[in-house]
Amino acid sequence: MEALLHAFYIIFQPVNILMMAAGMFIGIVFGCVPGLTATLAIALLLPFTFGFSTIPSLILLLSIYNGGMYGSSVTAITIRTPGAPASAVTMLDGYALAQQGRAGTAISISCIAGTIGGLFSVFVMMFLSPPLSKIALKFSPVEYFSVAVFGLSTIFAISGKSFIKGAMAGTLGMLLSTVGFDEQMPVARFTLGYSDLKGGLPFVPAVIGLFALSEAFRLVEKGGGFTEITTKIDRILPTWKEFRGTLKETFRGSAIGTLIGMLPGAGATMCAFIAYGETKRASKHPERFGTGELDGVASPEAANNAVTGGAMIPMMTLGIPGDAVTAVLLAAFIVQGLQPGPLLFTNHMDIVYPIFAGLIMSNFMMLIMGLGLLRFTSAIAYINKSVLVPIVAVFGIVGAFAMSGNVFEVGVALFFGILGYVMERWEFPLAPVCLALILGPIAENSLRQTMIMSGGDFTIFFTRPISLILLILTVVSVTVLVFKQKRGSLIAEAE
Amino acid sequence: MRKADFFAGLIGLFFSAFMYWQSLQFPKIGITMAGPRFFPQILAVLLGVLSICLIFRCILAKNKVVEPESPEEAEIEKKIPIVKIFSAITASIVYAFAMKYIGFLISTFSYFAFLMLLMQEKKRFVKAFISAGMVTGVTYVIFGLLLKASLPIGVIFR
Repeated sequence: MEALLHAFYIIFQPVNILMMAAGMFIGIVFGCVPGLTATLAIALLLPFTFGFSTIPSLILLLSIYNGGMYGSSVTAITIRTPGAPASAVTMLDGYALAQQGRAGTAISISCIAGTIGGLFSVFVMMFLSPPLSKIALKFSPVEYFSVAVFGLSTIFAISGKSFIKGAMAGTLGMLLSTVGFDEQMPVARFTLGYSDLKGGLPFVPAVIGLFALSEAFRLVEKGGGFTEITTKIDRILPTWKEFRGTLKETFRGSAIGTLIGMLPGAGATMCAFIAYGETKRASKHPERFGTGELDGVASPEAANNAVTGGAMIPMMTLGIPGDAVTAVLLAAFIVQGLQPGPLLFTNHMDIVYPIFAGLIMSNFMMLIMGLGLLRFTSAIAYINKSVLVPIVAVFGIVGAFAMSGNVFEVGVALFFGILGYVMERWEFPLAPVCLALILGPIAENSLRQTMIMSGGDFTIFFTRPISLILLILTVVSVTVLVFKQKRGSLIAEAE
Repeated sequence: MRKADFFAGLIGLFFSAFMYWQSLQFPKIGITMAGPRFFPQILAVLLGVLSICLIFRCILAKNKVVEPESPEEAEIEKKIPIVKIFSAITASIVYAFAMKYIGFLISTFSYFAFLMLLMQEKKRFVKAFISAGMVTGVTYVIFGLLLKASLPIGVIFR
């Protein structure tokens, strides 16, 4: 308790509050603008964090993560264009409310529900992470490999229109992660004669390319211009009755977001859809959904904000990110010289508690800034794309360069930018590539260590209970997800 | 989109074959098979199999029913501004390499102005140049002065 109080003391230092406000602002803005996501913002700002110490830089990035989730709902409500896929489902009732002249109420309910969802997930994270990390300390390479396989396979299964494409994207990412010196033997792999590649593909430029540059190229394709906003903002705060009415569904969304968000690969979009579906199913008037029901905004928005805490649990305790954003956040930890995983909880409690406190405060910051800047954020889609694209491109390229002062890293960013653009064009998901770049080395090392332990015997994965359970879960979840995806039932259920 | 899938499958297949071939140069280990080539080879085979699946899916879909593409889809397909995208990508590559020679300030200014003009439907030169100047200045202050990154001055100015 004392440690947590001290952590709050650290968080209230002016520099940290400033970082939080800046991160929240950037997150909300990037979340709002269709085409820009929190992942993109975090990727672009990663190079900035080199200059800061650990806690302020992590606070900055975590606040962007939180703010981005809320921001994306604003344009979903006002112009029927979700800033990020996670708010696609919010659009159904949110836009209907806006058409009834209740856009302000819908946005503020989304902000309040998001805050409650975020806080709920942080508390769950605070209670679950320490015991989970104790269990994770006992993991051997066998279990680590199974966790990595579980994480990768679920994200292959859900992150795209087709399982084959998701799996191809992930396998490609893992193959690219093997570039560089072998960790166990002095052998350079796939370096094609470039000495710069001996240390492996640099992750930060890769992420900048994959999420920022590829998006800039995609926006070039769409062309410039403004998005007209005709929605008027009525009022900023919901009435007490409206707020109380949505509270139950806010908590339902929070619980769903946190629990499902913990599973690797689940992601905010899926949680929001499931929360919406469950809320609709539990409602006494399911027929009203889609016509402007506040519950239909509160529940998915609570869920997608609750994912932030949920997805941090496997990242912090196991070092296994659950989605693209946490994969990039994991890179931010590594940039700061921290290796997420069970040892973080034994060796770096001085960082862990401020992260908890920072996440709690950042949710309050979201409430204040979200409501305070409501009129401003609802006009953000006015940003002209002909200015936006060059800004993203310049910041991406200069950011990739500034980290090492090496043009080679810019080359890596451009390579991944073009790769990402072509992949998106051909409907291949990008998140598996990013995740596989992080999980690839974990999977390879644990697999090879296991093979050495067992003398080349693969049955070891099935004879150890935790590993066996994880592998069974992998098969079950992939089968269910692929089957569901084929019928398109995830989305149909929600609609 | 089916044609794209077919090409993607072919590229995947070639890439996996290339990676497998490259991995043959890594040493094999005697005691267990878990040497440096072990993991890449598994992945290359997996990618190859998945690519073949994608190719077969295209072929099977073609043989089944030839669904006429919806007119909207066809229009979207046609509308890809290839020249614009190609220019943006080329400009990015040129920018990355020109930075070293002509320096950060000139290259960033030109790159920004070029991209902005490329994006504008009605070309507004003054607006593009003012924005380019402002963004170049802000980027220089953030990266060069605040983060103290060593931004290139340019070989020709030395």
